[in-house]
Amino acid sequence: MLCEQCGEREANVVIRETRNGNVTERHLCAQCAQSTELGSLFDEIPFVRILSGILGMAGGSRQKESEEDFAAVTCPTCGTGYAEFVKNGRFGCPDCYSTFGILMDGGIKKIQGSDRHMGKRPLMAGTPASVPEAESAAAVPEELSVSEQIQVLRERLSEAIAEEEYEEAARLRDEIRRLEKEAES
Amino acid sequence: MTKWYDEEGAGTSVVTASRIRLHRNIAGFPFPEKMADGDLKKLNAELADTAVGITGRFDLPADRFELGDLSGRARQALQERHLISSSLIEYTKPASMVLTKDESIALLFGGDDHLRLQVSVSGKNLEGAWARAGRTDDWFNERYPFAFDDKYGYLTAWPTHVGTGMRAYLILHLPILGRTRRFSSTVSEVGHFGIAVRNAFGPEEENYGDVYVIYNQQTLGQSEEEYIALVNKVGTELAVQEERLREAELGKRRSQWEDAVWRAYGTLRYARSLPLKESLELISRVRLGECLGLLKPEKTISLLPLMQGCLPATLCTVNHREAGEEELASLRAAYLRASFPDMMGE
Ligand SMILES: [Zn+2]
Ligand SMILES: [Zn+2]
Repeated sequence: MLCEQCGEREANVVIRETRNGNVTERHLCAQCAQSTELGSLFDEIPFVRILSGILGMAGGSRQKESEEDFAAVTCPTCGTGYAEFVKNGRFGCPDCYSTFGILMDGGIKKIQGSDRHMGKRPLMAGTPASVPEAESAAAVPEELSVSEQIQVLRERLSEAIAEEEYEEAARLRDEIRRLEKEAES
Repeated sequence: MTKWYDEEGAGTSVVTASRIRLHRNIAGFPFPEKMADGDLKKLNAELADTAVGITGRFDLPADRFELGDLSGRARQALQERHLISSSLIEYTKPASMVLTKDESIALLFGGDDHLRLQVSVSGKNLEGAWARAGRTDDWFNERYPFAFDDKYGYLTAWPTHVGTGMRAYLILHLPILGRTRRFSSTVSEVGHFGIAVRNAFGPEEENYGDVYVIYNQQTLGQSEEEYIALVNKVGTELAVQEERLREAELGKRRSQWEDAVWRAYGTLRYARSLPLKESLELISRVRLGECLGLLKPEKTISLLPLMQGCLPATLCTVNHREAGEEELASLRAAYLRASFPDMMGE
């Protein structure tokens, strides 16, 4: 089957959405899925907000200021800039963890529920420049607030989009919408 | 050669398979996305050379290939069998793969991380998969230092994989539990424990064939053994619920189920055209019939390989041709007619 949008490439993505009990189905190629369906995902949850939310700078003018401050930060090892890091939600090299780790300020903890590795250790490791201790390292596990849950879901959403798991992305987006409604009321 | 999933044993009626996936990066290099293609190609090749040693040690013959040398269809077929992730289908940077012929060990070099290591075994055996994955992990780590941080653990391109870099998966057949009204609340309940439940086949809104995948969402903060114990615990609980419901159904509606499973078997043995969704549902039903003792196949119904064999890219690849929906349905029916075993005492 050819893509409904461009009519050129093979449709290898089916996007099903349930809205008010009606199921709509669209067969698209990966490129069109990215630019149309997920275009609307991008509009609603711009990537710039996804990680900046995680970075704990959510909200208003403060966010804007911080972003201007951070805009100049670039990983010295791989050259990943702050904007690129925020856009992709991905690290470029092991040293990015120390470069952006300072800015993350508990962000990893919010995604993972923890910021301390407890598992297997390597036989042979190359340790990057050490990551500064978060002052909250000893803090007890906390319940995530609704806005933090939303931040975590946004991070998962950016991963799902990058992995081209569109159905998962749609599900996450709905979950984010639901939580946002909950937060409003 | 038989695949790992062909060994699917009797007695594992709900938990069909177990899988461990590890993400690792070599210290001193940026992650693949940030590497020059030439450097990445060289590193991939070195790691693939190293991989041959470990597959040899396990006595598993393996194929080695470049993803770039495969057709789009062939890459889709690998993705359908969860040997590569969907982002690799149209990936343009160098990526190499070492895949044992039984597909139980899949090593991907390049992609998001330098090494993506996957071990699959049949039945409920995450411990076995982890033991094998751990040995493979060590094999590489004896030769290459890994990017590791005392605080954050194994460093990965995605912050969602950092720490252990490990996801543990159980693949469950839940033909009755999955269709109950309370299943969706069960799914969100286990979500609170950090366990995700996904459809193995079919779109998000609709499950084809009652097969579900559960895995640990978090990778940092607990040990590998603790994550495995958590996934096992949830998997066991779901399996117990499924078994109970099966028993109750058999008590209440034995003759209806007997009719339903034999009808499904008849369709699989004789149909000339079968859409994907219907095929997976029929396979699920016949497998349920076997588990309930309503029909006795001469050889156990292997849920996963039969279902995977129905998927579009795999059908195209096996038949060495491109096919539209209609032709796929007839290729699928032919495949299923040939694959379904005879029944004893028929
Ligand atoms: Zn298109
Ligand atoms: Zn970096």
